[in-house]
Amino acid sequence: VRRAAVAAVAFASLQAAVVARADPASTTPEPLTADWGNGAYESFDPPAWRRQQHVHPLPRVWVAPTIARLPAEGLALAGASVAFGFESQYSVSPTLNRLFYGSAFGLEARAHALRAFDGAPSSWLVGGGVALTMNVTEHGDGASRLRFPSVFGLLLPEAGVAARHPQPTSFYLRWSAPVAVLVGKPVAIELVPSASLLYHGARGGAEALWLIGVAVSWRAMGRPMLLL
Amino acid sequence: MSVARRSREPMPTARAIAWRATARAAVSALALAIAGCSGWDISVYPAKRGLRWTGDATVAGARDGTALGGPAVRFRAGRELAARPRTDGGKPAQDGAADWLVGSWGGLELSAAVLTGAAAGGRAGTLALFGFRPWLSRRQDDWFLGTERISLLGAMIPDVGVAYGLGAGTRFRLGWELPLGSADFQIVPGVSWISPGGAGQALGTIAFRVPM
Repeated sequence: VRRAAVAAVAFASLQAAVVARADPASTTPEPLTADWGNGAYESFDPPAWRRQQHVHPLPRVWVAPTIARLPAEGLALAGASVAFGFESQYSVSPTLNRLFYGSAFGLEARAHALRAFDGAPSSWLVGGGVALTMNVTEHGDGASRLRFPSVFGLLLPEAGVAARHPQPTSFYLRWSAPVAVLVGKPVAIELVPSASLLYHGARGGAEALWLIGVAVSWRAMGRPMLLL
Repeated sequence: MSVARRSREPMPTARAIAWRATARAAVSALALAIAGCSGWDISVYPAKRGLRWTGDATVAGARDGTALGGPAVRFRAGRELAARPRTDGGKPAQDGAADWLVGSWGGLELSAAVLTGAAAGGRAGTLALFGFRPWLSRRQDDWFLGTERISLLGAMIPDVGVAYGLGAGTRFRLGWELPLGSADFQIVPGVSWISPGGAGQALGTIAFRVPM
């Protein structure tokens, strides 16, 4: 009986040692800049933009109540913008390259619906376009909740087509400067100031449309296990 | 017929033959001297090649009051035309005359830009620029697109393409640029000649480039 008890205690101690060795997260915190594969990114707290699986394009969606001003026609409009796209995190260095190009790159399809509430109530605008996104998420110690656009991302416009009433349908370019703060691991609040140019076709000229929205965004933290 | 025709051609004199031979020898000697001074390795070697892109933040202006700004991208594919020799210490050798005059990397560059701002008359507008050009550069140490390593011929070859927008439709365009700076950051003054030969318009540009 004594031998059996000693053997059981020894086996239990060995098993505990093996488990502790196989689970380094229980004793040693992971560095924040590690490759967040295999679901490890889900176990960290507090939320940070870099705590998302890197390299792989991950889905992202945002919805933004928006107000706008069309000075050329004296219109004030209100409505909403929605977007769906994919974004990937990368490590970009040196810092100059990161600030110029960003560290998170994505492609988004966006839709905008606005209706005049001041000026001419029958006016409305519905548009859809695509945009490349280039944002800076890697700064400080990598645990930042703040995300802002890179210089090149600020310059790249969204391109699309807007159906308008009573004006004719027009091509548009839209520049935006979204600044986002994470409030949860996948959820962020974003302030989205933007400016659009609505073009008049071959005869040239354009109308400026100024917009500001407050968005709620959601992002996937990693690829589903089926896709890993 | 051919024999008869050839018989009517004046026979070159011995002096002309001597002049031609001397000229050919001089050109060959000059080429070999330039190649030798530059340290070109003219033996068979595995050439480096690659593809790269870079982005510019560009501002542009013209005398009629046009002031534009926006992004530009360049895609460049090229290969090494002459190997870079090493000194006894293993360091890359200095550029020679052929590198400065012609270049030792060559390829093709495609460029595109979307510039938006105030056009002539104070109205808003957008100008899209597209172009391509044969690209020549001095030798590169490693990654081959350090665009500041320009050669004389490479800087003179224009970017050929079209400009579209500002209410003027599609127009032919020639462009030149002079990348200045380091491998990390470059300021690139340039000029676009829109509709050369017609109602030509010169558009001055300054690009801020961070090689990727």
